[in-house]
Amino acid sequence: MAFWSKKKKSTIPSARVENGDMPAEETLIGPGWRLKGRVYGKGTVVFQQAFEGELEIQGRLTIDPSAAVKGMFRSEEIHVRGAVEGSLEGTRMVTLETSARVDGDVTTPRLQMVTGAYLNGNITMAAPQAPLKRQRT
Amino acid sequence: MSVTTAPEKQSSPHSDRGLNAPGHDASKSSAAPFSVISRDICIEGELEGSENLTIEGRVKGRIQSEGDIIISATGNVEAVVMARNITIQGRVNGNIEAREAVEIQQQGTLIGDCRARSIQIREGARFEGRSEILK
Repeated sequence: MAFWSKKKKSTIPSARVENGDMPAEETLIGPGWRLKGRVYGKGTVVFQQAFEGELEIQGRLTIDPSAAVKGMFRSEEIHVRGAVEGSLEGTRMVTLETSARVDGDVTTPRLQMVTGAYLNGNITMAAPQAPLKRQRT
Repeated sequence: MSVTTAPEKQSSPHSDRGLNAPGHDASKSSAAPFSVISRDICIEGELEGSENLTIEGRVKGRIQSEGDIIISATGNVEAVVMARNITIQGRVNGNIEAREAVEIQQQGTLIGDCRARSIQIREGARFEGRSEILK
């Protein structure tokens, strides 16, 4: 990390320097950003603000307490700490933390709800290895 | 197949990043937190923000920021990009506009028109399009 910052001549700092030892596989949509559209690929995605659309990733999705997201979300693991309007499909697991507010359906083989989490919708427990039927809002 | 109710947990490690990142100096605008689109992620749509952004993956559509944008070496952008400063180390196909500076670094490619108060094209960079200096 340190040698990158020494070599860099640009006045714009490296994201790696600013964010510490963040792994390259992690996508962070910070609190100052609004995103509308479709997200897909592989890795970890963290939303800290607004998102509207469709997300399908091989990896882990985290919706932070400051985030309000809307749409269809499909990932291996989904951790919710913020507000969600739409469907969540975790092919491995879904966790709703205490600050989670979910209006919509959840489909997963494993669901963990922490005390205080709010869920208004249907829960469908899917077999862990079975392919999940995609749902659209 | 199980539904469990677990006790409350501590907040995520992500809460320590961004604004609260160690070494972050809020007094310097260029040191504002960076959001990141990692190399294996594709985004199609509109991104609008007030912060800095590093793109290591693919973005199609439109990007508008009050902050700085870095398209790193693995980044591939097919979009209209508007920001304060834009640094291109990867590939951009689309028109870009920076209120301050555009820098196309070595190995960087811009196919599209470029508008900025200053434009710097480093040796080895590729630029195909029109350029306009803003006053």
